[in-house]
Amino acid sequence: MPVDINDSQIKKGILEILILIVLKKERYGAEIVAELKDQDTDLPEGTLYTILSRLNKNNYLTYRWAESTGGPPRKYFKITKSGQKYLVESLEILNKLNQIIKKLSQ
Amino acid sequence: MSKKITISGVTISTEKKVDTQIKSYFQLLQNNYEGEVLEDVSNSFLEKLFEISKERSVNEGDLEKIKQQIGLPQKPIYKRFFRYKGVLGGVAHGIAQYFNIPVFIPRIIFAIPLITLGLFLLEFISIYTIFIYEIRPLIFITNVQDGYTYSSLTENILNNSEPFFLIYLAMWIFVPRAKTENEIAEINGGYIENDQLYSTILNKVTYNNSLIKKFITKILFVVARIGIFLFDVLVSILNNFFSSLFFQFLLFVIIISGLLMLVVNIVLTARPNISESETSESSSSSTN
Repeated sequence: MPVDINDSQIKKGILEILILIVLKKERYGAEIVAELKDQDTDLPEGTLYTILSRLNKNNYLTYRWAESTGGPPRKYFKITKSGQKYLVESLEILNKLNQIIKKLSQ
Repeated sequence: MSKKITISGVTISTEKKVDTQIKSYFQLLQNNYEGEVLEDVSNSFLEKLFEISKERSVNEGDLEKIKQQIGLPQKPIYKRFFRYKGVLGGVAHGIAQYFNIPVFIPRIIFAIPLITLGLFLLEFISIYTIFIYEIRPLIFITNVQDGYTYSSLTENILNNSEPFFLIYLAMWIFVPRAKTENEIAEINGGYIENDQLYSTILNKVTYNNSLIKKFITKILFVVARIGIFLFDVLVSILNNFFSSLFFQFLLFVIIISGLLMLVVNIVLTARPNISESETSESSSSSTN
């Protein structure tokens, strides 16, 4: 299948993939941001929650509420089975892209 | 010096003046996000404030830091009219995008004058050929009953389609073509993802369109337009002349004699069985 680089879905898709990888363990929003920041990837939370909401609509992740004393409740996210399937497929496409880049730059 | 405010059941202690800033940013979030995302973002915002106010009151620097972490609110993209892609200037495509209608509708509206121009040329040429002249009224709905008046559907459409040419031309000249991805996004309007990350990516992508190429196509179009206009004038002058009864009779005689010459030629050169059918045809047409 040809890869459409102009597709903005790919730009968003890369962040989706990063988030899904992080969500192999159960985490809440700020933890995801911190985890990505450790790897030099700045992700504003506004974007994060937009992507999380989209992933949730596609059933790629689930969440549970956790009450905290005094503060607002926390939402813990975790990847689902279909999310893992999507992740594997996406990583395959990325690997393919990576191979193309390597071949082209030889 | 500290002040306590409560937002959505969460109590936060802030420094003076910061409380109004927090409230206005919270309002900004309300205006720019909706549904689930709004809930998540505002919860996260409140949690950050809450964590800080456990130890001390929130100051301006803290708020700035939190704002950066959450990111800029969603940027609305206002719908704008652009020329985009398209066959000639992209005007029809731009109109279709702006009004959310299929492209073929504006395209047909603009193309009808061109199609009728083609038909009109055919019709004009057909005056010289007797065969088409005879069936011309059937195809072009031409009124040639009294020989002096000459009007047809195609001619009428062509005469009344001047505004479409001009509108198209004006739009081509004055409406900019969508070049950057931001502008392409503005064609449809809506919202853009709220961070600098995407906006910087989007701003970098621009399409280089050769200015000279654009200029030449524009000039060619204007020249073509002037040509069409001059042809129109010529046609109306010639039409008056050609529609005279005398000229039509003259033309008829010329064409008939030409045909007779052709038939005689065929009769002299062709095999007998073919010449028989040809002569019977020519005799029937001459009686007409």
